[in-house]
Amino acid sequence: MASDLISADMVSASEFPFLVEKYGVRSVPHTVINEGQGPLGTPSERELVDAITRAVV
Amino acid sequence: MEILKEKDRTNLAEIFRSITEQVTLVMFTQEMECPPCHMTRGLLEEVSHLSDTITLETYEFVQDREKATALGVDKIPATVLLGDRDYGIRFFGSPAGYEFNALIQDIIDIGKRSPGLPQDITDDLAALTQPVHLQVLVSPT
Repeated sequence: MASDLISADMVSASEFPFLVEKYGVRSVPHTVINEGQGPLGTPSERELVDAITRAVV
Repeated sequence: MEILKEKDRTNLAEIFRSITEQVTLVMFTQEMECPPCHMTRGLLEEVSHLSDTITLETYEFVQDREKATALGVDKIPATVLLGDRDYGIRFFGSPAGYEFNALIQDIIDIGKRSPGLPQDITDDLAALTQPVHLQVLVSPT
């Protein structure tokens, strides 16, 4: 909601196994940022924002 | 088929009283409903009945292909959460287990038209110049 440039999907790994394979998911939660790997586990808001900023540089 | 317990429905109805603006849940399923689609639709129907500010619209993934594409839905079951506009929030798969909490929190944030983020976070996000697509793979335990 904080930016019109951001879209966020919750994806149930058990229902979409092809995505588990596509993104090499080994544990959940697993965050994908623009098709690349983001933080594993549950990041803090700051950790997630920093990961996003790094991903789009 | 009742999914939510009476106690949970009562608690949620109370929580939803803090919502002031309209929230629309747009769900995509299919005519021959897969079990997760059936479960998701049942859950969303129950949730939408708990507040006059929450509306549920249901569409068919195949028949309503244009609508699905316009909302960026490429797999089902899918739930798109809309407020006065599309914030880019989607749930793919049934929002059960821990994800149900995320669904409820998103409904509340949209209903208040505010994600409740700290200013420094909001500032950094506002500075983004490129699209960002986040996908969080979760398991419904």
